[in-house]
Order: sequence, then structure tokens, then C-alpha cells
Amino acid sequence: MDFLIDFFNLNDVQWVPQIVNIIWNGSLYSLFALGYALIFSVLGVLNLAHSAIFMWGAYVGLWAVCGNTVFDGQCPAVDVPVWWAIPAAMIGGGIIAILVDRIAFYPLRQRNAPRLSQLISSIGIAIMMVAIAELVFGKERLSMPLDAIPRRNFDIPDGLSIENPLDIGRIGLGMYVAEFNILLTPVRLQIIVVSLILMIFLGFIVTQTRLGQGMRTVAFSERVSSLLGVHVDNIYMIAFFISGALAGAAGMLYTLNSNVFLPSTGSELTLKGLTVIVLGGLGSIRGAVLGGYLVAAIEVYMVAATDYGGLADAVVFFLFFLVLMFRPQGILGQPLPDRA
Amino acid sequence: MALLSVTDLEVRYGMILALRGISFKVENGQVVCLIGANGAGKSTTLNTISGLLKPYAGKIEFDGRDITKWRPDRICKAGLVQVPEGRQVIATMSVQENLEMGAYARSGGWLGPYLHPQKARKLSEEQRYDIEMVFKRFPRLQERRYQKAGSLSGGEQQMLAVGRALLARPKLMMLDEPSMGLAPVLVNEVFSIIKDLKAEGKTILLVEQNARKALEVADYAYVLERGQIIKSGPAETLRNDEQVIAAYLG
Amino acid sequence: MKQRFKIVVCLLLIATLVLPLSAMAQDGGDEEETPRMGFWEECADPANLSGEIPIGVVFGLTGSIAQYGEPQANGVRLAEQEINESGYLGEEATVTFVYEDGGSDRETSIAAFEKLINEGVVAIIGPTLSSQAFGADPLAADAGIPVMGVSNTAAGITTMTGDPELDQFIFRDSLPESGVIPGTVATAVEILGIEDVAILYGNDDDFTASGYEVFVDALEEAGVEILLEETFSRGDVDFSVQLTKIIEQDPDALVVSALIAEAVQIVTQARQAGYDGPIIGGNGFNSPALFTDAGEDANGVIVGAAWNVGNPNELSEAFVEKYTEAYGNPPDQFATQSYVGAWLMATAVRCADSADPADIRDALASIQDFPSPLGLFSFDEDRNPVHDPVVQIVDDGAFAVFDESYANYFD
Ligand SMILES: Nc1ncnc2c1ncn2[C@@H]1O[C@H](COP(=O)(O)OP(=O)(O)O)[C@@H](O)[C@H]1O
Ligand SMILES: [Mg+2]
Repeated sequence: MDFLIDFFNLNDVQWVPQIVNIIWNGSLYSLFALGYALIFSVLGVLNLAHSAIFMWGAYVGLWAVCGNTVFDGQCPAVDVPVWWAIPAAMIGGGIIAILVDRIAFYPLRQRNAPRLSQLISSIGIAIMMVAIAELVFGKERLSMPLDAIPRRNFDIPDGLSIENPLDIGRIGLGMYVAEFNILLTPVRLQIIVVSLILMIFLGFIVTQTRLGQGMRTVAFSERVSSLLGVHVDNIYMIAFFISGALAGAAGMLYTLNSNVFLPSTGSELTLKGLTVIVLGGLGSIRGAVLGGYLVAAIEVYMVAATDYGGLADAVVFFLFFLVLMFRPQGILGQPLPDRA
Repeated sequence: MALLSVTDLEVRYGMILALRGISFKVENGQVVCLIGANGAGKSTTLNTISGLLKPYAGKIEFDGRDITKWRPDRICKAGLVQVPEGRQVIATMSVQENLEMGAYARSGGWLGPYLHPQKARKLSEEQRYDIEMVFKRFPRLQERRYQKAGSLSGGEQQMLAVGRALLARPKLMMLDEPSMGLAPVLVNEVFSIIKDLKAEGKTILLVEQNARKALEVADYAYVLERGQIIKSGPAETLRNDEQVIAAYLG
Repeated sequence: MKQRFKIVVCLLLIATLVLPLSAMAQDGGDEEETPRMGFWEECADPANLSGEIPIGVVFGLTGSIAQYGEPQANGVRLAEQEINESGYLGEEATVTFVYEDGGSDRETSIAAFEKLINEGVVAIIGPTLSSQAFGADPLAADAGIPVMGVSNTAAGITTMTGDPELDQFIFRDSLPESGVIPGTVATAVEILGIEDVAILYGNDDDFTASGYEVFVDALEEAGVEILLEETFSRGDVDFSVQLTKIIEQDPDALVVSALIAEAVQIVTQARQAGYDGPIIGGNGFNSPALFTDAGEDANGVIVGAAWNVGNPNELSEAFVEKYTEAYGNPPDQFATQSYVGAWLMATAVRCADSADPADIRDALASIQDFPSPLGLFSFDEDRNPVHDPVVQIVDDGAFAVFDESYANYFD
């Protein structure tokens, strides 16, 4: 044990705050990867436009709370509770994802086009979506007003009292955050909570509902599902909606944390998301979640415990490579049927 | 009015003419069989009826409605259910879930089963009862209820495929070579299942290469050769037809 | 409006011909006179120049880098207008600045340089980033065309090829980190009594990495202990892992070498995390985006600069006024340096009295004590700029000159 701690240079790591960093970063990665994995498992195709949907979701959320000024590249004021951006981003992301399916995948699917052309088609639409975002919102960084987002670390606000049972949780949180030097802001707490809810919700849908059964049947075989009375196109539509809503939620939470809205937002996540779902197991919901936290843990570890923070991506991709070599089905995946 | 009537059906794969204008009927309560050699066009016929293939010409009527242009899921929901060639059980799901998927067609409109809070999750009383009936019919499936369907033997998979189709409460069940690839003992078992179904009054369109067995259970039969129906008649008659004996029963 | 402007310019032109500039710089000149650039008495009016003299300008005009590139282009445009309207290059000649987008990567700038060199420009101003300069400047040097960086502050820019024959064509008017940071660190340490610091820097960018090295030297010089050094990559938007480590160490000051996009994130996130001590930044912090995007979180950021909008220098005040009138917002350091750069190039052409790149180079190299918004400007023997820097602190949403009055600011 001591040997391992020395070997991984964990002596100086501040456990509690860094684990909190892993949790909220990992939640974001998982949330992003879930939608990616969902489409892959249902369609058998990687939707490389997923990160563009992520970016668009964030802009839709921004538009919802900021109003039409975003089209002039500005967000001077947020008059509604900023959290409304999240459901707005989810609905927006869902609808945009359906459009992506209709434009990039559906016509090819109708013609039984090979999976590779569907993959390339999704790259094409991703590039278009970024270009359109640049036209609509401008290439410049957009931000909400600084005071619109509660991005301060939790502390113990004045006027709370231990006498009041309602305040105790808030005081406890503030004390805990201060005691362990945790960097926990309301946005990051929101990231953790929303991701958790959405993950559980998705897990419930996929494993516990008729819809989820339908999706898994379509994932197994389109032909068999239609013989069983499954309206395959509707399943695709719903799957894209859910996937887009998850991407939108992830995009909104991501940008709420950074307050940087750029058309290039999320482009770095295309590959990272792919790594996440491959590590966890392609098309596996639990795998996507596991992969998300794993990648976050590696990134945080590299910065927190070594002097090679810049190599975090390299380590992640090395692991990706190892998994592809020795366990192509991923850590939690079952051996795959033939899919591209 | 026949339950199913196929008129001048012509199907092409690109330039290849797979069905050259066939016509046949299935009456309510009948077991009709379609026999023919490998590549005669039997699966093509069933898949076209099921809506998986679009005919080049011809007409398919079921239960008094023209279903020629319907989507497969709609045809299934209308009560015309196919047990596809090679079983096609959902290998990644348990036996129980495969059966639940069989009842999928009964669970409502296009968003019905998804948005209804109870239907979204639960099977109806009726569906649950039907699943229990399938287990009663095939006790071996009950033993493997929570096993993945992919781990079942060929015979068990065929039982599951039939059970799954029954859960849609079909008005007409189409079986595509149910005995294919099974050991002789199991072949007999499969045909006894079909006999049981017949005894219960189910309407069945059976596609088989095993003409001898098929003609034993069927009421009426059609012989398909290179995309054309070359002979038809009561099963009894065909069983004694010299040409049929020479080509299929010899 | 435009007509009146022209009249004013003509009047001013006459006035400056009458009043020597040096007199104005000393006593502030006539109350009604606005001090103006150029007409440097060191060289005579040009006699041999004619036609449009093309000078290339390569700035990053698209993407996130545009927040530097746009003000830079604005500075050159303003200078171009003044130079030509004042007849600085004589009756017959005008200067034409040819603008090319240098993007935010090396390749785009290299392509822009190639295009301009083929088009026959006599000199080039740019590119925006040091990392681009390392790729593109050798092209100009090879072609024998003088190139002047107006925002390249990485170490070794003007000696990048290692070959004196080529290096002699590479200039810059942007005070390198090594010219600004030591003074900044020394002043901050002296006034605030800083004993230990944490450093956070981008290690995948020439500019921020060389800034980091200068910081380390300056901190050692000042006897400050470096508790820990953390790195990040360009494009990062979250620094919570690094900040977790830094805050645990409780340093007296946080030293940051970053471009403005990351700088804004680091400043806001450090403040969110409850760190309210001084943040000493490199040249990348010198952008109005620091105030618009980080708001009051930017208070307490200490940055050395080649220039400050509040510079008590008459040419600077005049420039700020004209720039603000032209573009609706005050100039930043980048606009000022590019403005001065354009004037320096024009002065070199004027003093050389020739449109030959080699002559222009020689004239550029011999510029000494040129009055400008940056102060009296000279090139040293390595073609690096020499002028006095300013140490600034962000106070109440604006840069102020950092002096003893801020000794208790962080208490
Ligand atoms: N997907 C296909 N593409 C082209 N030809 C096909 C295809 N499927 C079947 N065929 C051809 O159509 C004919 C009928 O096939 P099929 O209906 O599968 O016969 P059966 O089920 O009677 O064995 C065969 O000649 C076969 O080669
Ligand atoms: Mg067949």
C-alpha cells in the first residue's frame, strides 16, 4: 500500500478536494458520453456531430435566458433564473439532434448506406453546425453577465443560524468546503446533481421501460424489431432526442461553469467522448458513466500528483490504445456484434 | 373473404425477379403451407407480406384491408405476425424480455406505450397472463426465464420465437422454416407444436422445405418453384400427387 | 464631419511645421495644439519617394485571437490615415498598408507572409503571436525584407535564426517580457512584501512559456520563494485542479503567465475559490477583456506593461483621444504598439528616402529617441525596443499606476 502511494506520488495530493474535482468533471464527461453511447448502441454508428449538438445546446440555453441579444454577440442581462437555461438547452439539443438525424443519417439509412458513409456524413454536418453557429452568434466569446451565474465557492453566508434547521445543511456545506479547501461552486454542485439525475433517468428508461426495450431491440436488429411491431423510425427519433437532450444539458452545464460560449466549444470533447465510451465499453450505458469518471480521474491525477499535467491527454489516449488492443469491447462491454 | 389474400405478387431484388406473380389465399382457421426448394422464393414471400420488402407489382390484402404499402410494424400490430427464418430471438435479452417484446405490438399507439406512466413501465394484466401461458406451453422456457436468449439451444430458441409471436395475439402467424437446422427429434417436436396450435384453431401460414412433415399438418398447400406457384390443392391431394412425391417427398 | 477633420489636420500640419516638436514635448506646447506624431527632426524631408509604398500587415483577425488582432489593425489604420494625410512621406508618396489575416496558428501566418512577399511589400508588420513569428519571420528575413513584431514578446524573437545576416531584418517595438517583468516583480515585492508565490503558466505556447521563465528569473532575483509551479494548455477553461493545489499552499501572490482567454478564467476561478490576494500577470493580461470578462474579479491583478492608457505622456493622450473617437473605445497596449510600429516603419521609409527594403532596414535600425505614445523610443543593437515600462494594478475595474499607495490594498 505504501509502495503504491509512493509509486503514484499520492502523498501530497489533497484527496478530498481533488476527488470532488474528479466527480464534477467526470459527471460532465459521462453526461456527454451517455448520449454518444446511446446513439452508438441504437444505430451502431458514431455520431461525430454530438459535440456540435453539445455546443448548440449551450447557445440555445444562453438564448433562452438572455434573449435575442445573443444574435448580436452579446448577453448584457439575464432576467430569468439562470437554471432555466438547462431545460431549454435540453429541449434545444433534442430538437437539433433530431434534425441532425433527418439530415445526416436518415437519407443514408434509407439507402442502406454503409456505416462509414454515415460516420463521414456526421462529420460533415458537425462542420456545418459550427460554421452556422459562427454566423449566428459570431466567432467571439460570448458570456453571461458575471453576476448572473452563482460561480462563487460555497461559504457560510451571514445571517444563517444553527438554530434554524433549514440553515444547518448550508452551514455544514460551507464548513466542509472551507475545511478541506474544496472548490465547489453552486454550478459544480448543479453539474453533479443534474448529471446524476439524468444518468439515473436514462438508466431507468433503457432498462425499465417499453421504450428502452424497443431501443435495445432496434440495437439488436432493425428487421427483427419491425417484425415485432416496433416503429423503428420513431425509436431513432426518440433516441436522437434523448441523446441531444443529454448533450444539451452537458453543454449548458459546461458553459455555465466556464462562462465561455464559443462555436468551437466542445470540439475537444469529440475525441475525449469517444475515448470515454470506448474505455467503458462501446454502447454500454454503465460503461459510458464509468469511462467518464475514469478519464476525469486520469486528468486530475496527472495534474494533481505529477508535474506532467500537459500529458493527461496523452495518457488517456494511451489507455484508449491499450483498451483497443487488448479489450476492444471496453471495460464493461460485452463482446460486440458486428458494428462500425 | 379470405383472411389473407395475395394477388399477382411480383418481387425483385434489383434486376433479379424473385417472385413472378404469385397468388394464394389463407382462410380463417386454416393451416396453409408453402413448400419449395431452397431459393424458391418462400422467405421473399413472407417478408413481402410482412412489409419488409416492397413488391414490384401485386396486392396483399389482410383482414379485408389492403396492406401492400404498410410499414412492417403496422402490419404486425394488425395481427399478421411472422416467425422469421433462423429464429432471430434477441440474443442480448433474457427469455422473459424476449416475450415482453412479443407483446410490444399490443402496447398502444406510436407514443402511447412510452408516455403513459403505467404502460411505460408495466405489462398489462392480460400480457402477463399471456406470458404465463407461453411458459405453461413451453416449460423448458420457464426454467430459463432469466437466461439470455443467446444461450438457448436451437430448439429452445424456436419455442421462444413461436412464444414471442403468440404474445402479439396474431390473427395469422407465418412460420418461416421452423424446422431448419434442428435435430430430427426436435423437428418432430416443432411440428407437434404446430399441430397443437392448429388444434386451438390458430390460422397459420407455414413455409417449409420439409414437405413431408408440412403436408402432414397442413389443410391446404402451395408448391413454389423459382418464384412461381406450380401446384396447389388440399394437402391430402398433394401428398398423393406423383410430381410432388417425385420432387419433394422422394 | 470628415471635411472638418481634414481642415483640422491641415491646420495642425502647418502649426507643426512652425513649432518644433521637441519644444512641445518639453513645455506641453501651445494650449490649443494637440501634440502629434512624426516629423522627427533627425532626418530631412524625403525627396526621392513617390507612388504608393506597400507595407504588409499580418494580424490574427479571426477567431479568439481577434481580440488582439482587431485593435492592432485599428492602430495601424489610424497611423496610416495620419501618415498619408500629413504628407509624412513627401508630396509624391503615400504608404499603403496591405492587411492579411494571420489566423491563430503558424501556418496561416506563414501563408500570409508568403503572399505579401510575392506581392512585393517593402516591409512587414506582425504577426500577432510570438509562436507565429518564429514560423513566419524567417521568410521575410530570407527575402531581405524588414519585419517588425508589434506584439511579439517572447525571448529571442529578434535573434531567432541565429544568423546575424538574417536576424538584422527582424525588429520589434513590443517590450519583451524580459523588459517588463523584472521591474513588475521587483515593484510588487517591494511594495507588498511578498515572500512566496505560486506560478501557473501555459506550457504549450512560446509566449506564455517564455514569460514563465522570465518570471522565475525575476522572482529569484527578488529573493522570493516559489512554492509550486502548475501548468495548463491553451484552450483550457477550467483550472480547478491546479487552483486546488495552489490555494492549499496559501502563497502571498499568484503569478500567472497566460493569454487573455485563459487569464480571465484563471482570475475569475481563483477569486471564486476564495483567493483574494495579488495576481501578478504577464503581458497577456494587457487587454480590456480582463475588465469586461472578469469584472471586479480582476481587482488586484498586477501587470507590467509597455504602455497604459493613463500614461502621462502627451503623445499618448492625443493618441487615446483620436483612437477613441475613431473606434468608439479606448486603445489597449496592442493598438498602441501597432500604431507606433506603423509610424516607425513610415519614419524608416522617410529617413531612408528610399523604397528599397535594405535601406529601410538600415534607417529603422538607427532610430533613437523617437517620441511616441510609448515614450522616447529606441532600438538596441539587437533591434529590441528600449523605453520605460509601467507597472499597473487593476483597481475598481481599470488599470491604475501601481505605487506605494497600494501597500495596504490586500490587507
Ligand atoms: N437480398 C437478396 N438480394 C438478391 N437476391 C436475393 C436476396 N434474397 C434472396 N434472393 C434471391 O431470391 C431468390 C429467393 O430467395 P428466398 O426467398 O430466400 O428463397 P427461400 O426462402 O425459398 O429459400 C433466390 O434466388 C435468392 O438468391
Ligand atoms: Mg428461406
